Amino acid sequence: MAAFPHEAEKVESLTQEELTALHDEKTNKWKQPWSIYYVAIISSMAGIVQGMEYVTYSLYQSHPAQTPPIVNPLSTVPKCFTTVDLGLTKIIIPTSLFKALSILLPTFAAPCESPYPLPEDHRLRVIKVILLAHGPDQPTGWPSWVHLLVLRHRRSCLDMGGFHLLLATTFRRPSLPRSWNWPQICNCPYLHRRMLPRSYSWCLGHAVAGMDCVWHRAR
Amino acid sequence: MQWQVWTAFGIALGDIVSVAFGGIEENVAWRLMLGSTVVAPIIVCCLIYFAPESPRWVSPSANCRRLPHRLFSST
Repeated sequence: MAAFPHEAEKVESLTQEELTALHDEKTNKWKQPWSIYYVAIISSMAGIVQGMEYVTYSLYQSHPAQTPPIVNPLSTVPKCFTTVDLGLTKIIIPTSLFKALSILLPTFAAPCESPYPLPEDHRLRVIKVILLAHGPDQPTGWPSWVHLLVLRHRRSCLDMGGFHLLLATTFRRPSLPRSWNWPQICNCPYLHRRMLPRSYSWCLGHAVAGMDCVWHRAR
Repeated sequence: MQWQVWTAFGIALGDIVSVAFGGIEENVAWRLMLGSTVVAPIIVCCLIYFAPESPRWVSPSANCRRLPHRLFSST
């Protein structure tokens, strides 16, 4: 059947009912047994569950009433790289660079030190892995960098609702939640206006306070 | 594709639910936000018990003639 799907009639062990079902697959593709539709419905609902949990949990982490930090993905990185008061650019880029370097550096070791022979393009492969592994789900991933650059470039054109949240949550939380995605956050300003009823000056105040903190710490 | 579509639908649903609960009192809002994600899994859990077994599960445990019957039969 798998080798010659168009010659089902030649298979002797198939009954007439099964042959009809096979024929229907070509002529009437929506006429399927209920069990197939049932499985499709369950699978789709499982997809709904996944998507709903993903977004609800992300938004829950940025909810004003949610005070204790849930996840700290940066806890494995030395403190000096993850100080929250460093602000947007300075928290994301050094952390990513640190992570990238920690993976990349061993690949520059001399070949004789490695127990396994590495192919010539190994470094390129590692860079690819870093780019792929730091995917859109990670606050330190490359989409965050790109979006951050766009954000800084077009700050005045953006809806300030999203920018409120960006500033406020960065400065009021001790860590970046794991499932954050800057584009996702910035793309629903209406939601954040409802959930984060803070004024722009409030956020700006926190931003200034954060910078002050960095300044004093640096000194 | 089916998976992507319905995951995206779930994301939209999560946004809608979060917006719906965004206006009420803060301490209740986040509980309802998280609690609302329980509804869909409960339905899925109930539906799972009525789902047909997979062919791989059916084939060694049942009569071999039942396998194509279960796959292709519309009854």
